[in-house]
Amino acid sequence: MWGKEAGEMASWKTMRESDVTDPSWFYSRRSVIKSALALGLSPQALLAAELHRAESLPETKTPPAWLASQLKAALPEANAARASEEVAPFEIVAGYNNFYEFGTDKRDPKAQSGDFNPWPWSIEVEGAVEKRGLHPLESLISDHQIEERIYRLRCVEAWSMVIPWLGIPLRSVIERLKPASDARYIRFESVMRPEEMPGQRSYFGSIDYPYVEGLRMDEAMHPLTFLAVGVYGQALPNQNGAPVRLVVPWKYGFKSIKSIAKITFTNKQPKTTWELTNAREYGFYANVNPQVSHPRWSQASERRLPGGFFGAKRQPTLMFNGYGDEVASLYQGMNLRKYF
Amino acid sequence: MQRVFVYFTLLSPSALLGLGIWSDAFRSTFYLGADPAEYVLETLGQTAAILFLITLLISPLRRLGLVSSALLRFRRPIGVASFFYALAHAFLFAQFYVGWSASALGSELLERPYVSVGAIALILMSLLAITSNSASVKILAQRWRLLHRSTYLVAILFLIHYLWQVRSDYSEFAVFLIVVLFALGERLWRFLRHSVVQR
Repeated sequence: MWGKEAGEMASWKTMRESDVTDPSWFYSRRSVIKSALALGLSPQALLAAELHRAESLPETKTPPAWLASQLKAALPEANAARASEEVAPFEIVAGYNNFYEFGTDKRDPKAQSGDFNPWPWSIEVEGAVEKRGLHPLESLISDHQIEERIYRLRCVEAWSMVIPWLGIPLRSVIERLKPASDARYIRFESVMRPEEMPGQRSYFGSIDYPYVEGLRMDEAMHPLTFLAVGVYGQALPNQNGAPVRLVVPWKYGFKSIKSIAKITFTNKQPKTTWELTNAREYGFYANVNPQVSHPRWSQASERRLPGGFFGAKRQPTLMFNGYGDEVASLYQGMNLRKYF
Repeated sequence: MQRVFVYFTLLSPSALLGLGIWSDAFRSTFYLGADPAEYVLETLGQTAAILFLITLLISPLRRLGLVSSALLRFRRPIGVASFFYALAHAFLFAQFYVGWSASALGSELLERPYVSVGAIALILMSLLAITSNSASVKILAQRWRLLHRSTYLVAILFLIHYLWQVRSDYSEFAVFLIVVLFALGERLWRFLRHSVVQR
């Protein structure tokens, strides 16, 4: 990290103050919703023009026309409680995250994903499912209304942020693919393109690519489980998992696999990348749970970003990342210490 | 002149971090990124480690004729600067991760061994820093040399402290490992050769 200091200093100098989002704009929306609720009005009516948008996303590769027009017609977050959360500024969402295929530092994905070109994109569908084969992304998405979902993302590294995703429930895609009745799990695989993804060429990494994740079928069919194709009113930037990624808000961030290239329906629990890399530290379920520590750090609290240097403080982590009312029933009777 | 250059270099990382913190706080820039507390914590730790390894490298590199012996007298200020960066690193850990709570510190030390290893290294470094002056060399005499051999132990503790925090990418660790192996290996090799010759 230290070696990059000089390069970063140069970008500090070229960065203008106007490049940085004025924080006031994302607070304003919150107060609009609060006053709407206070007046007893339906916030949905007021939200019609209130989709979170970033001015420009220089990192985003121009999406195809079908996606651009669908994103333009996206519905803003419909859930009043979620809509009232303070979202992280776009610069933070697109400038600070983990995507090891582009490097292990949290600034690497933005800095090193420029060679990746997601378009055109298809997803290969395999296993216990009727519609096997190669599906262009358009054929999976374009019949559905794109909606905004404002979700908390809790990283296993004990930081969190609130992000306005755009996409469709994963359930809609699963239903049109018609899985067989014995498909109990879904296995997801990220794209493998070492020539465009420097992390996949690394000699010192202990991760085997392509990245693999999985969900139990009832988790995958849950209404909160989301397939994102955009963020902040635009197509996903490369560093956030372009062109299509999973968002599972009650699980640690690494479950939300990026740049999905393959989906397999199976009756066996898939072996996931982090489980294979370190089974003692990362399990299949990876539900956010303040009572079960990571062996090397506590999960009882988290830093909500961006907090600033002086504002950096910890807040308690909530069971299932605060989505317990919706998802706790999925795990009834399970020992969550054993199935972590 | 040399002296001014060395002191300026030793201070510059803290000056840059201070500038970044000031600008982010008062000019709403994002120089230190989304998680400045962690960025500053990590950068202080890495600066301490790099300076420490430089103090270890000067003697073997000089013996190989790769650096001038004029550098020998800078081992002391570089080592002391390394200690202050390590101390600031520990201070921020106490502030942002432990919140100055004794019970939280206790559980961190027990449950997360890399924290205990770092703490032991810092205690050793503080002994080294306190005795890094001519008066201590005179007073402690032979024992000073013995005490200052614990720099080798600090190097090994640092490697463990770092290794136990790696999630999957061992490239930076590999660089540190090679440097420590060279710095300690050269000394061990000389020690063994001398003891053979004496016999």
